[in-house]
Amino acid sequence: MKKLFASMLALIMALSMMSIPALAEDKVEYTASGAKVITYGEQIELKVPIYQRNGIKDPIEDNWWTHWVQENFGDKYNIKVTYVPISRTDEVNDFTLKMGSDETAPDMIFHYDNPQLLAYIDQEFVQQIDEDMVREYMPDYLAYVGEDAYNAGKYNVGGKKVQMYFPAARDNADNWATVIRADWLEKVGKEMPKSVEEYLDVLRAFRDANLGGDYTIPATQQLPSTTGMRADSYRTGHTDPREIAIYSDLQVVSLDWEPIKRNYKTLNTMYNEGLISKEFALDTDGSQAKSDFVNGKAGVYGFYLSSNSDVISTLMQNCPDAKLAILDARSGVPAGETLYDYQADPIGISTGISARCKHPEAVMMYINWMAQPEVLEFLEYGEEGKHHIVKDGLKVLNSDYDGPDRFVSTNANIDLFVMVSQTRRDATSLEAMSATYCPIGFEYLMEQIFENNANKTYIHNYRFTTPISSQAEYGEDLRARFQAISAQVITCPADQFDALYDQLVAEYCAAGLDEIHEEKARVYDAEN
Amino acid sequence: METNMERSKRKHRAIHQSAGSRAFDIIIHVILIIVGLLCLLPFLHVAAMSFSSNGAVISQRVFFLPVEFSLDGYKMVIQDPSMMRSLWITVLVTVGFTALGMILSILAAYPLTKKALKGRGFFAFLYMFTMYFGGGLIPEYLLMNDLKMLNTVWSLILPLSFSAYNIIILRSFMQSSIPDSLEEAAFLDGASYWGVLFRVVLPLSTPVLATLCLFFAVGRWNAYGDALYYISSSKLYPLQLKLYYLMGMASDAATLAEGGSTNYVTGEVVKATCVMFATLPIIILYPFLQRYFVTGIMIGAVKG
Amino acid sequence: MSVKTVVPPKRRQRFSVYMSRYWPLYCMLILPTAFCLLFKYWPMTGLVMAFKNFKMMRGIWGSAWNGLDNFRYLFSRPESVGVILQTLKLNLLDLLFGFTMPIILSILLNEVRSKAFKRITQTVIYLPHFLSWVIIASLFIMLLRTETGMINIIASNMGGKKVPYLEDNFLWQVVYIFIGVWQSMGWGTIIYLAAITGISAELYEAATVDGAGRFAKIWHVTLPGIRGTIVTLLIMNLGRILGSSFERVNSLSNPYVVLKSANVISTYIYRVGLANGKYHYATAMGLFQNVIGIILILIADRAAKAMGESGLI
Repeated sequence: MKKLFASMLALIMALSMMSIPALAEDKVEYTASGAKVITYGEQIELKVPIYQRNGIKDPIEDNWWTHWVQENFGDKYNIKVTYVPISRTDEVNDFTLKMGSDETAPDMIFHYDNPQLLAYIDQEFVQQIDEDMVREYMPDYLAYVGEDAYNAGKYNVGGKKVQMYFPAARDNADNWATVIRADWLEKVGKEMPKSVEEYLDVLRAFRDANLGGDYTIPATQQLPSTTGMRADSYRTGHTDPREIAIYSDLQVVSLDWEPIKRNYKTLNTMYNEGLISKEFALDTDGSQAKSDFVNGKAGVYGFYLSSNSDVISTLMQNCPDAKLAILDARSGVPAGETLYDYQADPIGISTGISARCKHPEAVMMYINWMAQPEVLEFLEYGEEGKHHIVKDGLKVLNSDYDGPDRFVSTNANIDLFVMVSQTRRDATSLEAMSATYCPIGFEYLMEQIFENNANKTYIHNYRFTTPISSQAEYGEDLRARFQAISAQVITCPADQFDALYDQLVAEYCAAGLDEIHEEKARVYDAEN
Repeated sequence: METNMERSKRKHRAIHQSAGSRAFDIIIHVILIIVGLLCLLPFLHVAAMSFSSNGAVISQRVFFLPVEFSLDGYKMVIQDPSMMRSLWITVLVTVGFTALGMILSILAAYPLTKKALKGRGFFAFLYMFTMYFGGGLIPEYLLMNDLKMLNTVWSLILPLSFSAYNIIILRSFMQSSIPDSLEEAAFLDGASYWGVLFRVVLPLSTPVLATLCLFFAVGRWNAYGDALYYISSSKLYPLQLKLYYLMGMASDAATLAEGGSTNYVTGEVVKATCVMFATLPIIILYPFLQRYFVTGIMIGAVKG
Repeated sequence: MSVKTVVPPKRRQRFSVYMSRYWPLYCMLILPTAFCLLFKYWPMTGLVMAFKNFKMMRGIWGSAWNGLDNFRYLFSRPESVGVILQTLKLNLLDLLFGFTMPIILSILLNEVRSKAFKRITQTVIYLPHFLSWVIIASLFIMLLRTETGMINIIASNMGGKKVPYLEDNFLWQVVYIFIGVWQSMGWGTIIYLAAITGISAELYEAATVDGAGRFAKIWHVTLPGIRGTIVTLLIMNLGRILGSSFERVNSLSNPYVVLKSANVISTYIYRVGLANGKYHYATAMGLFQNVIGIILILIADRAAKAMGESGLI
């Protein structure tokens, strides 16, 4: 009876609210840092997308941390923060379906890669951002990411450059490790290779000495991926910005570009001389390469270093005498040429305001709130003694902490603050990186990575601000062709390489690459 | 209980146990043993991985027996409360779905066996058409949204419970295996169509009903494609969707975009354990249903 | 024949007599038909996407019509004919082996006398149905690799030659069909075993009395007894002659076959449409596949009826 009465009351209240609008008025205030904030008279809902990944333990949309956000942000401004899980493996489909109606659409849409950000603009999924409002509502965000990163969110829409996304900050935190068996180097009496030629010699020595037993694989090799075939090492003489804009791309490989062809030529040599696995093309997920390396059959292997890496622990278990070193990056470059490397954009994920969002200012308040130093730091590091410990003045995450307020997601809360920052800001120094990513006793690997990187000349890929429609159309098709061609040209006899390469690439160009290049050239010239 | 069919077989065997027949028996057994092993070994492989150490698995040293025996995978899975919740959701959805699917199939199949029923061809075509034409993901998703079923178990129970395939199977069985004379006799006794359906047709259809139960239950248990889009609250995830996320690896472009620093893959042992955890409960269903396949109910009914 | 001479009032009477007898059957059909209309036919309006340039923000009906452009685009690409032929080829082979294998197996199982052996075999052979294609593929790739695959290692130890099962396009197709048959045969027997259960034991007894041997009984009793089920399933499978599981092809695919033997409609449509959000291409292709499928079904259904089967419709 009581319940019935209460619900009647609620109904009457709801009805009266409808008839007398704005009974409770919105209240405008300014924070200490000068950010405009609104306390809503009537509660609004803010639907925030969040990645759903593998290895989920706590519900990503409802856990200690989301409650913390509700208490510290939502309740303060009378906003109900609802997290909307987005499948990491199928995010474009997921966003697309959810954009089908007001009820399901999140208030923000994000993605890492520029082509997809352009596609979302093309699909009209995101609304244009009012820059005056940004200055009013988001001073903390602007201060945190900086003007350059912020401006990377400007796109060419209808002939004008306008703000479409809020890019997040990203510091360079490279934990990719290409390791070589240092004990093998000693056994064959060779130094760390400093050029492609020396590298191949080392691998030949590995092969001839049969250091890994009957099926020695001097260097592991997977089927090249579109992102892995950037041919950064062979770019000497190919650094003209226009050329890079047209030919260097993470999604579509310009097989007709000379640096790429040289890279394939090397791989072909390696294959024919037995320096890589004969079966590399079947290793589409990398499990074979990993197995070869941890079994002590292979001399060189690349992977993301992490403190609980099963690569290193299993290798040491299988081959207790193994010694590791980071392969000198110059071993990818012919003698006398410059060591170039691709540099990721210094921005993280880009977040747009959904076309169905009715409170763009609430999105701005949310991102700005998260960019406040004390909020961000808590999301990044939690409490001392629980989520992190302080070692030599450095905050080191405590991955063993397992209380009810443990970090969510498999990347320790990054998914929660990804709209503002991709990396923990204090975590990019050598000391912090070693503490975070190296198994105990292997801290020297991070040192070597840093030394290696110091030798590199970095090149950025050009960031188009106009959609390249032919790329969207042919991209996936060309990716399949690229894989087929990769397998063929790497495995063909050395004397047939040139003829076969040119023939296959001609077909590849006709299947859409030429069109992409023409469009990119046109767009580049218009943008510059 | 010995059935008539087996009794007759035995009688027959006693009379003509020829050498040819015995050779035939041996050949059959050999073939079936080979086929059985071919089917069992992959499963053994996954089971062996689930009981091995992670190092042995990523070294690809595990084939059909566990290497460096360990229960770590099972400990992790059983201690994870979200796994147990997903198991419960899956059981709930599967039971509800199977029950509803059976009701719909029976109600649709029986009338379609009646040749005199006007519009029979129309209904049969109406149903069959849905096996081949569908609107696709987007309109189905929008429909779920309009019906307010997104993020509820109903989105997993209702839409697929109508299965034209199963209706046709059931109808075809009813048509070919249940003699009209039986039904006629019941009608003469004054039974209605409902009465005949429940008292004559269904009891005689137990083998195919058991089959359909299995089809519905296994189909629902193994499916995750709809849950992937319809269910966004992780509290309602069915087991197979959890499995999908555990197995799923982001593409290398995605890994690169994230800067790799966050790269974390589920251990291979945990994956194998989850496969076992998610499939064993449903596999056990079949042996339970098997007894319905080996009894010759029909004869008893005709004679009795 | 008398119907023609009946006058209208009488016809109405006949109708009410008919309904008084048959209305329970129509009642039964209400619930399934409602489900069918709501969950199958309502979303089917989405098929108009095949003739539109679909944009999610505009909705299915709000997107612009573009006539037959989607079809023109799909079929103007040089590979399209090859893709359709390859799909047909793999599916016909699948039908030839994948469809017959469960029938043979279930007959063999039915001939087994030991109950325990029969039960265990039945349970074991249906296990592959429960493994996902990703797991199946990774296992078979491990077994079939040319240099380090278990099968080739055993073969070469016994003096055989190493066979590139996965790299060679012809062999890959053999492997593809074999794995498909292997994965589905056990599951496929269930339905036939149920049908065999329905065969009257009197028929077997009569055959025994006539002096029929085991082969004769299989041929004259068991097979005719499940003929209806076989025909029904065959017709239904014909409707899927242009469809193939994307997961199966994609997980088993590799760079040597991706544009040749593994280039089928489902992967083609993924590459040119679904991967970049062009749902209208996928819808158009689906429509084409299924129109062909339903035409085949109608023809097969007629043929079956002409041969005295009850058919599908």
